[in-house]
Amino acid sequence: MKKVLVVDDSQSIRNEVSDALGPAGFNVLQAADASEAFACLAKHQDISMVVLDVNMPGMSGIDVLERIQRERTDQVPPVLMLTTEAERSLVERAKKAGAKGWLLKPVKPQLLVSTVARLAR
Amino acid sequence: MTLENDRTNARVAELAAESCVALWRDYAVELTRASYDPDAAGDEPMLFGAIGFAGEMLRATCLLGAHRRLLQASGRADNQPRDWIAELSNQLMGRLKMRLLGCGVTVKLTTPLALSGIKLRPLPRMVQSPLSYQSALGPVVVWLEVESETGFVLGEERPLSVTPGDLVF
Repeated sequence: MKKVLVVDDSQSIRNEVSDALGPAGFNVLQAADASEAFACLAKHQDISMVVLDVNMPGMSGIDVLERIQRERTDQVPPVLMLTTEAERSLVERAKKAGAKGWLLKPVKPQLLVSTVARLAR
Repeated sequence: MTLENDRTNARVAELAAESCVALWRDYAVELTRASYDPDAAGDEPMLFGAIGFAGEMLRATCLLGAHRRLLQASGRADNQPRDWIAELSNQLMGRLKMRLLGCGVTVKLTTPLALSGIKLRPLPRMVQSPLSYQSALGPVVVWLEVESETGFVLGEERPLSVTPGDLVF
């Protein structure tokens, strides 16, 4: 079962992602902020995909993405941004940092599942 | 603050009003504009998401409020109402930010917070009054206080190529 890490400061969004991906056969891990995300990535080297919010307290999702790419030189999991942000400069920055997708909230569960299924390694 | 600012601020509030209706519709809640009477709500607590944005010449603070039963009915997953209203306020400001981007204005969002209260009573500020709505499960209120610097004019809105729910890439 592929592991997907969802990083969002909203418990409701983490639950929504889990409810969508779980029945589709993914094992969903949750992190509420950057430090929990990095701890989870260190513990689970076999994570297949990261679903990442942008607007979070402390370190932003873009900062998290850039650090994942910088520090995990072995096998970096694909990252899908899931956010309310549509600002072009942020989208371009995420693309440059290696994000594989950018989904705008509120996401339809079917679109989330099909996107994760397509991008997960 | 000039009359021009008043008009600009009122226009931002109207963009927020449209964004609010569209946001709740995406969660299967239909809103109609209504007057808000804090006393009519009795002692039932309301939950609020508080969030702000700031740009070069424009900034705002926003409170989005609803009763617990509406919040519990509107989420797609099992949610905690305090967390959910904070997330909804984040999504509301995300939508408003997109509309402002279409007007050529870039702002940065703060992260949302939640609070609760009974009979909260905002004061109308300048020409802006709180926006209020009615739904089948109770009222929704949006209190948006906009400040723009003298001389700031919101450009004509051009629709963006993306809308909420889209896969951008």
